[in-house]
Amino acid sequence: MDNRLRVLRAERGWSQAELGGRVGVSRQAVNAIETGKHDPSLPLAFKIARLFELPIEQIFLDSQGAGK
Amino acid sequence: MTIGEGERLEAARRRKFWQLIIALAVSGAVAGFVFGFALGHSDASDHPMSESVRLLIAAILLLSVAGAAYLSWRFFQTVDEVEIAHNLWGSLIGFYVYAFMFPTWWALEWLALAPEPNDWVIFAASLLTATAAYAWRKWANR
Repeated sequence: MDNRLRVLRAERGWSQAELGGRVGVSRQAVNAIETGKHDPSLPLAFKIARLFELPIEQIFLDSQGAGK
Repeated sequence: MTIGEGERLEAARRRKFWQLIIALAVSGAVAGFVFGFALGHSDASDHPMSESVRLLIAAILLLSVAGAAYLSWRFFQTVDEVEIAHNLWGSLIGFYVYAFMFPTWWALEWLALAPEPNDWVIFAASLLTATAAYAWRKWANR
């Protein structure tokens, strides 16, 4: 799943560790999500969406659905 | 929340992670040392171990196992979903090694093509494979 996490984080000047701490996951977890190696669970995706004050679909992109 | 608080929270989470890893390693080392000492003592001595010493060693071992179980529970309460995924994948791959290795070895022995299955070798292979799979996932997601 594609996502805009890296861009949103950069806009706020946050490191991966900073974002991880704010949503309760490790820096490695943020990296895994940003690079598409891990799709976050719904509770984590909602937590990230709340932090950025954006709807989930503006952060996590349905790359499979877009091609249909 | 001020800028940098997330990093402080992440550092605290990382510290807790390593504290639990160290505590788990210590409980494993205590159990290993006690049992290794008992084995060495038993091999070196002509006299059988007394009942009270055997019970003491068993009590220390069981306490270490209980401690390790509690610390493992705490570990999984502390870590995030990516760390849990690494553990689950490592465990699954280790289980598959066991599930395939034992019956295959047993069948080969039945066909008189291999010696009797060695439970320690299968145990070690399962554990080592699980650890390697976990470590590979950790390295790939560093």
